[in-house]
Amino acid sequence: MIISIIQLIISIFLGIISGLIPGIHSNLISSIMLGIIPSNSLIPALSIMLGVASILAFYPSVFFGMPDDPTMISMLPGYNLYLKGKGLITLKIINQAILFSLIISILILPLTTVVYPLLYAKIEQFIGIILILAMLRLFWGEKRLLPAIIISIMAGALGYFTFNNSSQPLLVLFTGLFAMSSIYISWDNRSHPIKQQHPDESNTEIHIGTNILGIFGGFIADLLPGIASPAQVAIIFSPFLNGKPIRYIEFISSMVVSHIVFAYSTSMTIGKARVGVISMMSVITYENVLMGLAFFSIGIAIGVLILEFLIKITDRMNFNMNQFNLGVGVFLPILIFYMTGSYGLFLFACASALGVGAILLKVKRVYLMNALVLPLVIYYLFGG
Amino acid sequence: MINNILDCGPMRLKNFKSYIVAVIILMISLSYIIFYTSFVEDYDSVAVGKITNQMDGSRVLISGIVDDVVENGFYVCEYDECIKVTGNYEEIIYPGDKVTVCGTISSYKGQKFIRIDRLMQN
Repeated sequence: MIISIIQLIISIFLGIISGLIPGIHSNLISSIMLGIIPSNSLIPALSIMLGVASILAFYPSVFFGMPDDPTMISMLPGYNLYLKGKGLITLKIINQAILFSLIISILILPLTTVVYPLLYAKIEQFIGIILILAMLRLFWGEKRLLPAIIISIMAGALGYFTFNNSSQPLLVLFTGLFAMSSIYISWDNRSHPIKQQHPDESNTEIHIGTNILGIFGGFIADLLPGIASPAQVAIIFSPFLNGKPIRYIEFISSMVVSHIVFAYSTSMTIGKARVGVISMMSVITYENVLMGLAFFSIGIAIGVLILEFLIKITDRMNFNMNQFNLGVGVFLPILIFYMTGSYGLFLFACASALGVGAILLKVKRVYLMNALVLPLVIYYLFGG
Repeated sequence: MINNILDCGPMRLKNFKSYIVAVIILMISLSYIIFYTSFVEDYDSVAVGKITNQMDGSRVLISGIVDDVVENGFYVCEYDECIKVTGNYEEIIYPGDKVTVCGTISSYKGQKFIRIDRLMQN
């Protein structure tokens, strides 16, 4: 058997943990799984964990505003919808967009195995310039330009130091920049969950055009350097989404799934997977791709069913948000210290201060993304 | 124009029952995995060193480490025994990769080799 029942249950459980708990990224879980899952079961186990985690990660992003992944930063508008009482509707739309994207992305996957090698060979030398343009696109039409530039430069410098000095740079950066600052925002203004509208047929329709655009966004994201591209691509496409947060969420949800599906394709065709978990699997043949996608689809389906369940019970959960925030606020520094030591904890403190600083300066938190983009620009233009 | 396309009525999906679609996807994926597993079960797991005892046309499953990669295939080794497997995997497979091969035994001038039907990297 390619995966045992025990391994299957462990993978699903770890996917749930990774998705629902801010700070526990799927890359971190994968590196743990590398040690406990036999190599011949790695593709099934990691794929199913990735599927479950990718879906459930939307829940803390929407309900707590605590993304732990570059793509999920783009979900901050989802948190604003939650504050307006539309969190459950947002999750319902996310579920639909994800399933739509999964089906379409798998159908066009064979085409991408032909197109990616051709395109990648042409754009590889321009990636640094493309990233600079994407970064400049962030500032377009910005009213608070100077604070935004200051925060961007500081985030870029912090990112550069963290990538060069920490064993878990993404964990340190994202928990600090986003999760801790989310705790700061929500500490005073909501000690209890906000009453949410119930989703029904009239408010949960999805737009096919937006989803197709999201799938295309995922395709583009897989061509550009991994860690920064999904959120950057979202920003590039945002003018086409009519400024409606819910369309933006649909776009991101579709993009998250197509980005992962196409990463299996790029792993096989150009030897570069833009998704950390997939790069750990060494997907090299069609058999690997099909096997991985079959288990990833199972993970997605299980994730969607769990999310549907959460949509049903969320209103009945009446826990104190400040206690939850306190729990996360204590857990994250301990996790960081355990994973990265005292220097990692110092960088995490700097990232947390910068995340809160962006809020105090009324700068959009998306500028904190430059913690990822600037190090990549330096790498691609100057070689390190 | 793109905004109009995104917002036009007929391109909306209503009554999309996520849980039903999820269950269908689950069933299709499970079916594929069962099909795949039964495909692999058609192949007898054989140690690389025992291939010479097998008849031409036998379907075998071997696991090992890639040694030399040559023009029309590569060598898979287990302990000190190696066997050539054929298939176009240049720039896909590299020496040191751990692989599992489902293939059919053939011979050329008395030398046994395996034609790859399915290749998995471990």
